[in-house]
Amino acid sequence: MITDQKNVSNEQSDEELMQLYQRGDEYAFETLYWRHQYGIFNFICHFIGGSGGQAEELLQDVFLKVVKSGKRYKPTAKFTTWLYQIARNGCIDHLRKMKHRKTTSLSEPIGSEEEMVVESTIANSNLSPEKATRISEITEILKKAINALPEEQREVFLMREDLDLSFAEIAELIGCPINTAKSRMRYALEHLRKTIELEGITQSEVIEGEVFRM
Amino acid sequence: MKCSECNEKLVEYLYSDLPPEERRKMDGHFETCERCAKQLSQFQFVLTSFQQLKQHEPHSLVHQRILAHAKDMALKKGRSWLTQLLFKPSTATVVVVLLALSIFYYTRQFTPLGIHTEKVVVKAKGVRGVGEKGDQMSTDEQMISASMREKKAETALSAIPSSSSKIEENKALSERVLEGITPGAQEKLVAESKPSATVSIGMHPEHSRNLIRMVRTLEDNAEVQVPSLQSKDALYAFELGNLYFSQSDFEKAIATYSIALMMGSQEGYASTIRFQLALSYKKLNDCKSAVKVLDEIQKQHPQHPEIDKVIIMAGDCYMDLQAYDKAEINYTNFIHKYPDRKSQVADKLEIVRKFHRVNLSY
Repeated sequence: MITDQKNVSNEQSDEELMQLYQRGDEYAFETLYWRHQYGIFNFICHFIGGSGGQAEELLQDVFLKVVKSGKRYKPTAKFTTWLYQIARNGCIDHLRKMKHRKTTSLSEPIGSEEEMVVESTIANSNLSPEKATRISEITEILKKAINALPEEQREVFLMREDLDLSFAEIAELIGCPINTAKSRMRYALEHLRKTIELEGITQSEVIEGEVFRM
Repeated sequence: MKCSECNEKLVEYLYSDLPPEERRKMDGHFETCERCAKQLSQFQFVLTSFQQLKQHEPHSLVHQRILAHAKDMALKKGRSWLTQLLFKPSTATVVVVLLALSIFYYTRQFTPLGIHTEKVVVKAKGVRGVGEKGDQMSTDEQMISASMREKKAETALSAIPSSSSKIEENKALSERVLEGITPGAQEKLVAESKPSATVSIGMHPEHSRNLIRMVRTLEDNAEVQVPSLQSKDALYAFELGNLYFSQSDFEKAIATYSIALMMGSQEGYASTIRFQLALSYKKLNDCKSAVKVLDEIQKQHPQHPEIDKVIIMAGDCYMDLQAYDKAEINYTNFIHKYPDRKSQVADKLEIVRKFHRVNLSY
């Protein structure tokens, strides 16, 4: 089939696009990819606690699985449920492997900024050095706090925040009652609140920082 | 409303999942209960803090890699079963073997391998009717021409394994590889069951066949347009370069990126290929070659998405090369373009200016 970009529009549902891709339309996949890659990449980064090469590899694995097992996808199932399931499984497998190895991967992202000497931990250069240091600290605290959440709480929190899923969708995805998903979210919020309180992070600090890296 | 009830529904309230009536009740409760209002405010603060974390973006090459793979798979899906069968490496091998056998029986000669191959080359050229140039040549001239091309291909092939210590030659090497992949060279390589030039630098056999076909088609008849094939193969070469890069095999990455650039110089991602090429040179501390590529990017692709990194890297390379005046130009250019990011290069600029002054005073 010769692909025709005219077949694809942004208004089409994920399921329609996936069906077009099953018939060999590459633009349908491209549209699906740009629609979901951002949320999934952030979900992966927050879930595994890193944004480097490992997260990029996982993102690649997720979409390559979609490409490879695209034939098996049936339009009766919601595309995002299927896609997020792949992403979730990938993250869980990765964390299990890392737990066994207890070492960090040597892989680095393509074009790693390590060599670029353009590293700047603080995006906002107008901050005073003291404030910049504090924001760096807050970033690290939040990162650790999210990593320290029990896995079942972390996944619910990130599915809601990064993937913008409803509690009903989260419950379906992880296979638990909706009230369980809600209570896990509540526990996650409670954990994070305690950490923020213990570390003495104030609202003004977060607002002043505007943007900071995880 | 009781505090326990409010507590139960707090998460739904936060995400506006409650019906309007329930929400109004909750709002009323927050006005009267300081404890619940404080808890709500704290939870909202947790979410604000999380949302303030800078959002992550994968490297642009990750996007390209995934989309190229999907495109490749889509092309395969779109092909008929017969085409799919023909595109399989195993089928292609069988076809090549059958072709070689038929040529062998057709010629019915048991001559030494070198002479035999040269004749096959000439025959193959004649059969394809691509000897436009050859029409004006005698058979002997054709044989000499084919033989010379084969020599070039062989030289390129033999140079590849030993090129590890000769980084400087990588660019020229990739040009020679392409130059060597001519009809004659290909037939010879197939007839002698040698890996093709592209295979020897690690390219997948199917991709290398496409490459060879493209080069041959373009060479035989410059008017033949094969834009999709050309673009696809440039992407393959680019992908292969990325693979080498990720494996820290920067020498092969350089050779392969150079090939990709030759074929895909007009592609939208040519600037990215150049950027990766410069990075590879930088990884090998070949700053001289890196700056050439970085200067090209700045001239030809001023809108490159990572032009900020390009400018800084060019400055760093010039600094390594002790070309302080040029390093200064790059760092100053960066500040001019990104005044709010001055702090990123301020220290370097100071050092460069200092060294520049010292040099001038001598």
